[in-house]
Amino acid sequence: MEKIKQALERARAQRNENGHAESTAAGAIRQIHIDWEHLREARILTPNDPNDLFRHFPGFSVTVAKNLKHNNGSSIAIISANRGEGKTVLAANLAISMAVKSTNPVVLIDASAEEPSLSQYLDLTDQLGLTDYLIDSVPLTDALSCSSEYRNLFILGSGKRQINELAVLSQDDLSLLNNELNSIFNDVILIYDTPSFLHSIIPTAFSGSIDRFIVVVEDGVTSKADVGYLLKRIDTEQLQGSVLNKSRQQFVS
Amino acid sequence: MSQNVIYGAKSVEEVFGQFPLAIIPYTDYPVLRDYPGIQDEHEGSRILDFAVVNNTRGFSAKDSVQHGSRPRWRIMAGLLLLVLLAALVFAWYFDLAWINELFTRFFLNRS
Repeated sequence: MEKIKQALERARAQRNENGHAESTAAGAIRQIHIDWEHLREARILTPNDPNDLFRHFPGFSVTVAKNLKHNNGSSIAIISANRGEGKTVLAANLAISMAVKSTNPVVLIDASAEEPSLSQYLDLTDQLGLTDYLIDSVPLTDALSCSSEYRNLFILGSGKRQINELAVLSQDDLSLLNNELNSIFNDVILIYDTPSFLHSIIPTAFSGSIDRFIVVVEDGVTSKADVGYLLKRIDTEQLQGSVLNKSRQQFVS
Repeated sequence: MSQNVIYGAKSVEEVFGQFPLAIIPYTDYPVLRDYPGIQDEHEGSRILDFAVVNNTRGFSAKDSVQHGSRPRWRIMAGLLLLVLLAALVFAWYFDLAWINELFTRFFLNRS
C-alpha cells in the first residue's frame, strides 16, 4: 500500500509541478502507426471496416460499459482458462468499439507478457510498456501509446522487459496502475487483456484489483473443469458474464 | 463431443448460471462473407444480431439459433412467392376469367 501512496503522491506532485491539465498529459502520449490491414486479418475491428461487424459489435460494448458504470467500476479484465480462446481479439474489439461509441477514454492494457499477442498485433513489443512502468518506474505517459484513427483509444503494451519479470505483478501494482490511469484520464475505462488463468500465476493479482471480469469460453474446446477452476480464482460477485467464442451453433438449424 | 467440454450456449448457462453475454460465430470475420447464405449485408447483420445476445431478452439457445440462421425477409419472400403460385394454380384450375385474359394478352397475342 505504501507503494501506491508514493506513486499517487508522485503523480500528484508531477501534475502540480507542471501545472498540466489532464488533456495535456494525455496529449503528450506518443502516437503509433498501426498496420490496420494486419489487424483486419486478425479479426480486429479497423477504421472504415467494410464488414458489417463494426456496426454491430458496439451493441455488446454498450452493455458492458453500462454494467461497468452501474457497478461504479472502471476496469474490466477479459479472462479465459486456456490460451488461444479469444481473449486478445475480444479485448481489442471491445476497446475499439467502446472508444468509437463513447466519449470516455479507453485504455487497452496488455497484461499478458508471457504471450503478448496484443503487443505483437500492434507492433509494440520493442516499445515502452507495462513492465517498464512497473519495474523501471518509467512515467506512465511515456509507456502509453495512441492511434490517430481512434482519438479515445490508448494502448499500454506489455513492454520491453523479459516475460518472466511480469510474474512479480501484484495486486498493489495493478491498483497503482489503475489509480494512476484514473489520475491521467477522466472517467476512463480500462480493459485488460490477461494471461490464461491455468498457465500463469499473474491472474491471482487481478482478483482483488479489477472491478469486473468477462470470461471467454471456446465452444467445443474449453472444459467445464477448467472453467470451474477459473471461477474459484476470482470473486464471482465481480463476474459480469461470459462470451461463447468460435461458436458453430448458429449454423445448426 | 465429451460431456466435460462446454458445447453451446445451454452448456455455458449450466456452468455460469446465465446465458452468455455474446456468442461470436466461428466464422465471424472475414470469413463471414464467404459462408453460404450470409453474403449480403442484411443477412450478415442478422447473424450479428444473433451474436450479441442480451440476457434480459430471454432467448433460449434454440430461439437464438433460429433467429440467426433464418432471416425474416427471406421467409417473407418465400411465403409471398408461394401465395402467388397458389393463386395462379387456383385460377388456372377453376378457369377464371382473369387468367384467361392474362394468357391471351401475354402469350396468344404475341404468337
